[in-house]
Amino acid sequence: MNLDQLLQSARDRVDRAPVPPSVGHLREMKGTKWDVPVTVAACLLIMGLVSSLSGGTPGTGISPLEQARIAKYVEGDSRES
Amino acid sequence: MRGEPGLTFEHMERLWNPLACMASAPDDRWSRATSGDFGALREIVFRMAYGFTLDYARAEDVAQEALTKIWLRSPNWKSIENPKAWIARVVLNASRTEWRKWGRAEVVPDEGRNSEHLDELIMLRMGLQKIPRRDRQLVLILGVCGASYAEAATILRMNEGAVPSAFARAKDKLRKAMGETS
Repeated sequence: MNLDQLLQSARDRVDRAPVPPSVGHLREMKGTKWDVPVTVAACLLIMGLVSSLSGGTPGTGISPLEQARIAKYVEGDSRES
Repeated sequence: MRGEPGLTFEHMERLWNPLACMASAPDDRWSRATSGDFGALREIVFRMAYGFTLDYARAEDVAQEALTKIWLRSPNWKSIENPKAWIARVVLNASRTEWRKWGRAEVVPDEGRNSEHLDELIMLRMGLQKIPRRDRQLVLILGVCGASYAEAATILRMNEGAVPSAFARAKDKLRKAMGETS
């Protein structure tokens, strides 16, 4: 195969190739910058809800059991003083 | 519109419309692209990217990058003298980084499982990698993408009269380079 035939073959390949469906769809590319903050905000909201529903302090990650234990120590300290 | 999240195909179609009054190309695909047919534009950009990279998988990324640049420039379409040449330059510039990877990247067959003549394609890429960038551009624009001498002259900002001889010299260099590789 000489060079002209080779170039023609490459040209045919380029002309015949199917255009990938993803080309020209920019929704995903432009949307990614919003994905991270939205995901983080949603996670924080869920954490807060779960924490407050279980009786803990929202956002602190301290369980009700831990809170009760802390309250007991604090109570004991105040009695001693 | 610029920077708006969730850019859709419809947005692109609307943005593309200002080009309708600007250029009339003899080729049907170009005529459709320049009269607001975004589907025709994405096909042109992808085929150019494939012709310039000679790699189906990488052409997808190059076409996407080029279409983003075209979209960003779309509010200022009226300042572009020759949209056809400008689009070709955008795709060509986006393809340049791929040329450096030609030596080590594997050639991926088309989505249509077109694995015929892959060896020849690899040989062509290896040869093109060895010739100067200007010659490589001429071979890709004229030989692979099938542009006319006038179009190649506009894209590469050359004198039209000098294009045929420059193309012949580029092909000679390529033949020599491929002779060395085979």
